[in-house]
Amino acid sequence: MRTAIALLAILGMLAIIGTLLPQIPQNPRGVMGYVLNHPTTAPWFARLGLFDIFSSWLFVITAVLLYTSIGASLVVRIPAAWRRGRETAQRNRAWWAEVASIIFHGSFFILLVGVLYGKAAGFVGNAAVVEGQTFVETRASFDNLSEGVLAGKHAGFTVQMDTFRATYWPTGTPRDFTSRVRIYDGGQLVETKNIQVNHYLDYGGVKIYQTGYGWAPALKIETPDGRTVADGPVTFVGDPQFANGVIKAPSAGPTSQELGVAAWFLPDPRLSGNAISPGTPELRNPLMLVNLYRGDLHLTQPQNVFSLDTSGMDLRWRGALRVGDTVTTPDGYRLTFSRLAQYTDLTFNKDPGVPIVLAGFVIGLGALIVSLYLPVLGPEQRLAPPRELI
Amino acid sequence: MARLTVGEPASVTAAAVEVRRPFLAWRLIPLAFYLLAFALVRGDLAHFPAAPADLSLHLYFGAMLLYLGGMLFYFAYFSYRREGLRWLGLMLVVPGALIHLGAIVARGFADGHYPLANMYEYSSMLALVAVTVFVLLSVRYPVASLGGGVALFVVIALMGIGYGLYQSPEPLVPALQSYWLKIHVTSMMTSSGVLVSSFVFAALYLVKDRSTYIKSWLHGSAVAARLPSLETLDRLTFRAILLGFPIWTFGTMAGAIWGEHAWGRWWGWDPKETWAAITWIVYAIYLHAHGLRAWRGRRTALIATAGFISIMITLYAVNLWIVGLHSYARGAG
Repeated sequence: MRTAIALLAILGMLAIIGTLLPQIPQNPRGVMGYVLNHPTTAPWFARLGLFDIFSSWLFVITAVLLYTSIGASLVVRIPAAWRRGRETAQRNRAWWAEVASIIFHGSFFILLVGVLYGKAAGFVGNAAVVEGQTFVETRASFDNLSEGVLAGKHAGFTVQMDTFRATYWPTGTPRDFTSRVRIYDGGQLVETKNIQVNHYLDYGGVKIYQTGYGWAPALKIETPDGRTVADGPVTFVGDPQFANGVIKAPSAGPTSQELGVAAWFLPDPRLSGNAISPGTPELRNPLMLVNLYRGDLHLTQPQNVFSLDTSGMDLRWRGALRVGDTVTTPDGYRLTFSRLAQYTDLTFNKDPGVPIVLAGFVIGLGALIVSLYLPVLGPEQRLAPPRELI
Repeated sequence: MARLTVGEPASVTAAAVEVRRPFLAWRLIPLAFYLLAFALVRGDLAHFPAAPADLSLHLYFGAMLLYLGGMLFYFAYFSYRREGLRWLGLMLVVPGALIHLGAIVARGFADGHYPLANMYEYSSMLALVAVTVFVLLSVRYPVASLGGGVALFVVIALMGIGYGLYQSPEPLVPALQSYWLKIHVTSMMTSSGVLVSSFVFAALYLVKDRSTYIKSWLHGSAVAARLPSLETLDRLTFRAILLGFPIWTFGTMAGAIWGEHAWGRWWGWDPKETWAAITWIVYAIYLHAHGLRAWRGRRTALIATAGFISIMITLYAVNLWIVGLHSYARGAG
């Protein structure tokens, strides 16, 4: 018991640190800010793993020790309860409470098995799918994918993204985000569904969640010699009321003549004089601000598709375009805001451990209630109202 | 275990109670509180059912007012030990709880959804649960005297915090549009309310315990002497945690299931989740410590107090000062 108390206390304190210090998986910007503001302490915290405390060795060791402590206590308690239980006379309320307590502590192992099996045999991947486009559920199609070691082959079904709609209440607060999708398997339409927040699509054990959305404007770039070097929707990131995106067109010319565009999209811009500021995320009077750069895109180096390295580039043109607008820059490039679409960030999650975890929850909670209440239910345990107050 | 106190002849105490009737004038005080509460909502009732949000807020104030009156009577009962004062307190607290319930229902109509979507609504529900637990307990256990006053003080403080975080009724954001909202948040609020009452007993335990130290300024104080015995306070703390802990466990599990349902993950170490786990750990420590004879008493009372602080951080501090996925429940949207 004292070991359990000590380990629980350490675990609790580590968790408190995890909420007081910004954590890399949840809040990477916060960690950056903290490191910049605390140059002396931050390296030490980083060395101890305090910025990712829930995967740090401190936390993992404590959790392993706690599990060892539970396991060790069960190794002692199960045989003792077994021996007692063989005699009918010994099977009283206290014995049943002990059995329930053993089951409750054992349910932590069920949870552990469920979570680990789910991670090992499942996968989590995500992909931004633009309206009108399809996504094939294979390893190569995901933007990010983390697969367990036991994860099998991907099912390879096709998700056809029909439309995405964001609706808002008159006050401007979001009302609903809906992605209408169709699932094709083996060329056959097998399911049509609206994916919403809190309403995922489950196909063949793969759950598809809508985790984000954004704008995907299409900027068509034509070179003076009439070649189209960029077209089609590009996913913009950031706030939906002020999204930013990057278009890279290396085929525009030789290395020194490549084109890059840094753009901002405002669905409802507020114009006052020469100033433009973001308004609501609703589509009212959309505008794209375009900065066209020419020069070396440094494509030989690793690239982030959402940022443009302008160190070897010159700004050739800047301006604003509405949907359908076409401009010709002084250099002769034709830019067309050809169309506007939206995209949905879909998360694909296969977790075969879900039923095990749910079973662990039900068994654990049931056993917890029985183990806590049986000892206090007996007639000799009734708390008599003491008269000392009257 | 045997009955806690025996020996004191029942007839003597009963006689003492009979003789000490409260002054007739005291009975008019609840009436005055009723009239004040009615005056608060009279304007809204005139154009009922329009503006349910205003009606709800004024009922909320009315409930606070009646709780305040109840608190005064409970403290008076503690000082003068006249049974009638306790009944007068109950006559304020029970109608207070009823119009508090009315405030929550009216708020639900104003929102157009289950009224547990921001911190004002949480505070209101939490306070109502704490009052209900206390009223139900006071039927059976003689904790009404100081416990009642302290519990109502905590309740009024919670409602004050809630009003400080007041938000006009708003439709639910998509993330909250799920029946899991009702299951998860209701169970978290219920267990919090119950665990808040366990803190009241633990705090009284610590006061009583302090008074046994000769060096303490509480030594020999009349307040401490009139408190129930240490054993009763310890048992009441334990019983309240016994009720609250499984509900908290269920609520946290429901939150994990909702997380799996909405985001495809059980647990993400979001600050709110982490603090819910920390609170769970504190009460798990309490239950283990209570199993150790040597720890039972002051140490367990201190752990129960830590549990209360942890609940307050989970419910309030996380939303106000720590950024996370649960921050949609922040004061100003």
